[in-house]
Amino acid sequence: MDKPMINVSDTKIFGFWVYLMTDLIIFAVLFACFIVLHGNTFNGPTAKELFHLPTALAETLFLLTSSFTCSLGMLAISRQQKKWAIVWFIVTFLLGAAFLYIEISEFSEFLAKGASWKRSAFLSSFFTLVGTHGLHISIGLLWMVVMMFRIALRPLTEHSVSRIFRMALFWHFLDFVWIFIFTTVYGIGYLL
Amino acid sequence: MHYKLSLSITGFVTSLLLTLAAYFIIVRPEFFHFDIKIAIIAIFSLALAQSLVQLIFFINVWKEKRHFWNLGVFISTASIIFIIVFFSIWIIDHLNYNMR
Amino acid sequence: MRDFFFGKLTWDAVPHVWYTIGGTVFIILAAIAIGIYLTLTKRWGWLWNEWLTSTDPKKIGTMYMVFASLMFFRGMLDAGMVWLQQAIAADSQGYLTADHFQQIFTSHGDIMVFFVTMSFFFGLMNWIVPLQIGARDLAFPFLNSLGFWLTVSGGLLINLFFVIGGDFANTGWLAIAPFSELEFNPSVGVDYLIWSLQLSGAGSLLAGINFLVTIIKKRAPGMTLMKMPLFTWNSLCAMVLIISAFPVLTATTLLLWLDRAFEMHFFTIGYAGNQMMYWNLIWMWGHPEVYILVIPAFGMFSEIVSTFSQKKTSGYVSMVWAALTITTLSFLVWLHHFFVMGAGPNVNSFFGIVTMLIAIPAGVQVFNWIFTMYKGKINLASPMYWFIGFLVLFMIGGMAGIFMASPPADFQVHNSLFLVAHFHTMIVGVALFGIFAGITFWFPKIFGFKLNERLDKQAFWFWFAGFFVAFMPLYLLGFMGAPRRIDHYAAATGWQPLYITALAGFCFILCGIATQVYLVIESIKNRKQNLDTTGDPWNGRTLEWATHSPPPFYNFATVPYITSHEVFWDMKKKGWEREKKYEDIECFKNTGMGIYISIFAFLLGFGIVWQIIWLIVLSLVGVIACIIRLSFDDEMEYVLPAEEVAKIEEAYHRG
Repeated sequence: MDKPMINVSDTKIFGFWVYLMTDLIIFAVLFACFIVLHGNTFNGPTAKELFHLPTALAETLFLLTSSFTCSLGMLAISRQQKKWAIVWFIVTFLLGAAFLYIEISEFSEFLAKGASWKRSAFLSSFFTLVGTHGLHISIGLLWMVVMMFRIALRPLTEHSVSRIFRMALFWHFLDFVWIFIFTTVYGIGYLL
Repeated sequence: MHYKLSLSITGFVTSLLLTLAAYFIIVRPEFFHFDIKIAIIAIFSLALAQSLVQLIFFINVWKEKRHFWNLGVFISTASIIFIIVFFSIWIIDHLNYNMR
Repeated sequence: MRDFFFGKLTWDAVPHVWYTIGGTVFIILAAIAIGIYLTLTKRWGWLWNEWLTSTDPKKIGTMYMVFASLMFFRGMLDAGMVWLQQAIAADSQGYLTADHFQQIFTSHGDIMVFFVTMSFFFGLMNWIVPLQIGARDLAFPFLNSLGFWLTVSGGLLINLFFVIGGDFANTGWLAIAPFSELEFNPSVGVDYLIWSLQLSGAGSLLAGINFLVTIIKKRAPGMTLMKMPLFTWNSLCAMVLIISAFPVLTATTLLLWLDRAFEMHFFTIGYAGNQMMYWNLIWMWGHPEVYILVIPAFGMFSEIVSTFSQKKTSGYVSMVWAALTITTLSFLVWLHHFFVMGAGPNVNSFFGIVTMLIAIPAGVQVFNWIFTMYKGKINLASPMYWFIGFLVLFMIGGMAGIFMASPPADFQVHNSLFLVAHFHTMIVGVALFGIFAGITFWFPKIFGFKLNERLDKQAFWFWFAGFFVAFMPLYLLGFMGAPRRIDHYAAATGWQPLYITALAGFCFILCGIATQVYLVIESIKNRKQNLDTTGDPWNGRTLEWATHSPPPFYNFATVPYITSHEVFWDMKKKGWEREKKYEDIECFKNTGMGIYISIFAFLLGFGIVWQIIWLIVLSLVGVIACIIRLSFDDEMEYVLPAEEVAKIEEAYHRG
């Protein structure tokens, strides 16, 4: 019933996959910095003082659900169901936007408390790691909008499906990275 | 692996459970009589498990022959990431100690 | 208001010192000269359509070579200024201020590593890798063009300080923190360094992904991994290193920039920054980078040695494993660049031992090359001259490297001229000699005529002798205690005679370069006498020699089935005829999008350096708009019908 229109080993998708690997390595450097610097609070606010774990959990659940709805969107694409695809991608977009909104609110709250990235090495590495992820989310959201236009305006040829799939892959990997941000930043940062 | 609804749902529910489990350990480590070190190992293992679940059920990459290079590049990247993170911690730890 | 429009730009940025005025005048005059030439010969259209917008890897490869050569002159100018200063600055300040001297060796390092060596290698790979694997193009032709133009925009940015700003970084090529932080380096020089590296790093990363996917996915049918030529194998290994290491450079320089632009504290002295982390991260990139520079050269020499010994490369399987081992180990040794930073004996021993282990696969390769030559029919054409020079220098530089792999020995010579001599031996003796050999070897394939053998051999002798005279004194100076990067020293140290000898060596090298320039001009003038009509001027062994010289833009009219790793040699032995049945070929269109995106990227870099907000926003919008526009362009390819292919092929066989 479901003929695989998308093959992850296709040249274009494999190329994008390799690019995603390099993006993971950029995050690895940011993770290494966070772990090395998380204790360098320079008598400023610490993770335990700042982090509000229920907020982090809410972000995580929004993003996880958006990854799920994204695969529902790809399922619709594989069945050539344009309308359902757009519906699911809109839901994904809203969930991703909600994630971003919570994250920006968290950042504003920290800034209001004087816990800015200028305060200590710990805060610099926190804002950079989480902020870089947020920047990727923003790019993903923009990409999603562009793809929704493609779904609406162009036929779902193999070429189109390949492009939409790459966007979905990007989105899935964002949640993949977030698992580790949640665990390392909020988890280990809070526990230690 | 073809696109199947059952795969996505399984992945979603499993990830949800793993996330909630990790959250619970973070906020209440004493519930499991975990000291900090064990708690960290526990949540990290949960994170690794969830990342594998997402790789298989959302990203749909696993032991199929056509995924050989994707998996290969992924494993090599994972090794590089391990080297970057582990060795940075080891090296900086020693440097911090000696250069304090 | 003023800040909004101009950021940090003030009238001070206008050239007002002798070298910035000189640099500006040169750049403007050169641009005008080129403009006049193009207008008079009515070649603007030709330049745009035939070259700049091309996605043909042979054309992009040639553009990489031209760009690398231009940057090479700039890098050598910097080198000459350093040599001259050090030769005369005994008990005097010489002719350069300390700060200017530091800027010179910084830009020398960055330009030579990023814009010369890497560009030369990408050029050669663009030429040859698709031909060797029987592919028509790279996996992503547009990204190939984009990667090239991003590298060029990085090269423009690194030279722009002459015209606007006046200050380049004075921190050394890797911008060590905290010296490169705002506290000690408030001017834009370090930002120019960071952003030109980011632009060219992005270009390199794209090229790395492109070649990796091409080699893995676009091989001709029948070419398993173990039937690939060794140049392709080594290129694959270098690409693996690029995609693993360059993201680390991107991230680390980004963090340094965040410290400078947003007052973050990753590597600052105050606020609990950790400066040692910067050096740890940057060398995590830096070490694989130097292997990226030498591994392709190893591949090139493997091809050259087997071709000019008329013998199969000895130990093909062990050569592959050697390349893979070097690739893996190179990611585990970076700490040897900072043994002295104080990580202690456990850490130092681990990295010291792994560093020494790299000598083993290196030795495997050297012995295999020698065994290939043994009992072969050796033809000492000029590529073999470069090979023998490489072998000698690789041994010397390699031994110096193994010496420094031991932490206690390194403690004595760290950051001395011994280190400088070692890495120049490797980069010049291995990478640069490899590039020169590769260019001579493959020039007839790409351009259809050979380079003048006699002149190339002359150039070799100038370079080889010059290198010894220029760098052996540095090994001695290192042992005598001379540190690197000093702008003046006391005459009582007794170092000056050695510095002067080094300067004489540089003059020899200059003669070598002049010979090479003359070589190219002379060969182009006499090209009709040196035409390669067969496509196989050296009695080659691998697939690239099976095409015409130069090949048609689609490389192969029909892609052969591969049965061995020396396909062409076997094809010749069995008697081989060109396939006459032609098929439609899918080709990629020319596109200017690579240039447009890179122009916006250049403006973005410039805006970031000077903190001109509106320019940053506008260029970002420009880049994103171009990308979105591209994403809706579904017609980047076209089909060349079989009849057209037949016509092109017949024309080759007639003329």
